[in-house]
Amino acid sequence: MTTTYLATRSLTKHFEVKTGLQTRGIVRAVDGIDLALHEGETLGLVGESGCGKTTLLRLLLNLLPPSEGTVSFKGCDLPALSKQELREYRRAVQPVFQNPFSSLDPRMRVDRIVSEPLRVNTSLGSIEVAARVAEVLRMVGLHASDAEKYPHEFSGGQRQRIAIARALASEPRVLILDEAVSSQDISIRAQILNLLKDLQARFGLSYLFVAHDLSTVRFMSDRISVMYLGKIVETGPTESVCRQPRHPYTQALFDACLPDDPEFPTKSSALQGEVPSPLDPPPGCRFHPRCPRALATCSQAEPLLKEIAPGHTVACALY
Amino acid sequence: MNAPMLQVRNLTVGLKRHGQVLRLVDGISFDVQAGETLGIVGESGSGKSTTALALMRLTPRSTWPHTSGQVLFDGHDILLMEEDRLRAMRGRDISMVLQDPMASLNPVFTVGKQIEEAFAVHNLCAKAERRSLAIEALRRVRIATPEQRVDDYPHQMSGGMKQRVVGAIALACQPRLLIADEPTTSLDVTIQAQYLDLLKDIQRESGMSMVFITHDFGVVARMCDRVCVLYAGQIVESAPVRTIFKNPAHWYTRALLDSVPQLHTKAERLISIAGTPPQADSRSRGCRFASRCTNAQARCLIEPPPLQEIAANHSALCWYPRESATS
Repeated sequence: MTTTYLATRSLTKHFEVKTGLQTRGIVRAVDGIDLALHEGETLGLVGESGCGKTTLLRLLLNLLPPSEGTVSFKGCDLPALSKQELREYRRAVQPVFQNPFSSLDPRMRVDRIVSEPLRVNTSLGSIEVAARVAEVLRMVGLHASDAEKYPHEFSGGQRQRIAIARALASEPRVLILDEAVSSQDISIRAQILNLLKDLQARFGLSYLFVAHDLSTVRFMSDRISVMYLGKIVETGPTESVCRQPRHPYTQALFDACLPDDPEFPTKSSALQGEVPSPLDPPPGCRFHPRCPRALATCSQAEPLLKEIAPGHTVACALY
Repeated sequence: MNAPMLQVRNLTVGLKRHGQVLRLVDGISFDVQAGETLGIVGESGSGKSTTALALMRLTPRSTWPHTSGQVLFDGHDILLMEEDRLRAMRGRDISMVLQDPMASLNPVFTVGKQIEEAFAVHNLCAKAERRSLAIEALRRVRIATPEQRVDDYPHQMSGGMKQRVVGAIALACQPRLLIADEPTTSLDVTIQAQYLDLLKDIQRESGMSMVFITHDFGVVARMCDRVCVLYAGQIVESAPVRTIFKNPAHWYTRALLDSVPQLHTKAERLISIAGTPPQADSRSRGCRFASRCTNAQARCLIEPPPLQEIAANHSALCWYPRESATS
């Protein structure tokens, strides 16, 4: 039986939007999300800007308290964890952010950056910490001597390696990768993606891989979840989702993807308009105003996730 | 066949840094025919944005003493043109769309006013007509209810809409050449697809030429007729778009294509290029890609490679181009 490291149960985060003292409305940034991340797997999370990806990640990292629902770590809800267990959770769940120019403190040397999770979350002595820093730097393809440099001495790709080294330092089980390669050049991106795959094979890490580029998500993930306006509309095994996307939104995302090759027929973008404001989401299915296959009922009843193939769930009235 | 609309000949743009002239763009040449879309692909630091700016002589003044070559638009050299004449051309004959719409728009004016500016600068119509022309320009880029949107400020619009407004400004005077520097990089995938479709449609209606600067081969495959691949300031390969994808002659082009994950086939690993692109101040004497090339020979490290004609319209800057491309 594989361990489920991170799971959420009807996880919800609402933000009040205020002008002065008056509440103008509620943004349902994350609205009832259930997901599970198992040992050694990569779950790809896809969605356009404003769909609540970042809020979801912040909830998973315990950087924001949920409005409703819970995040659980190895089966225990986060609020119920003791101080000691919470430390264990922070050690085991580590983030890597998109931009390595803003995620590394320019005034800290690499050894301080990389050892910070060790100093905060473990009780290792300074010699052990230094040894661990050298070890993780080598793991990500840098030199142990790079520990004495500052971030500005590295290129963008190398900085992202430092960010990955920092995440690996405390021997985590889960990495939360928020657009971790989006800002990198093509040739560097391939290096980092291969590195992440190697590290996963070596240590049995679980990844939550967030990206907007479907080709990259397909390359990395075992399962894919698609998010739209605070909800997950489709989840399934990568091959199943890519070969036969069921939700009209997922289909539209694939159609909007740029071709691998100029000889592929270009599909014109079926999807018109833009993502509505989460302040005032449409009633019923949130996708219905843009959906090319919307039924009359779509504007009334909100569809629930339904399993249509093994491990493949879709929230759409068509199924 | 008519002479190309834009001819770039041996364009070099340099910058003096610590007493040393760094060549950001180093002797590149290409043509753009009327109605065609040329893609310029490269990684960051390859000189693609500098090239875009140089085409309209918008490069910083500090680079001017180290700029040479020719940028011929209809046979007139933009690099030597008087300031007045150039100003009359910018935005009217040649126009530009940049990556970040927020940085291109002024937050304190309505989008209508900013579009009207294009007509005012070029003195194209009576003052009273400008507003209706601005509404027309917004309609051309498919903004719904342009009569109302014309009075919006940029912050009232979404990212995709702002980029459309930037497009409306660039296309206001119906230019014959549009230079687009990563116009969709900051947009979401579905919005990106809409925007690219829009540019294609406008091109079909007006017959304008485009120079598309991008790092994304998907954009190239979707938009371009011909492609120049830029590496460390040089064009290392130029060919029709199908040739670039099916049968590239340069090892860099091949490696770059291999390092992109494919949407339609699942790979276990990507073939990545070792190392990083060289900085402008530490390029090798020979081929600039040699240190990362899987096929580099002794000669590649010492002697600069020649530009070899592989086929008609297909050339590569390489001593030993890929065999399959030559046969």
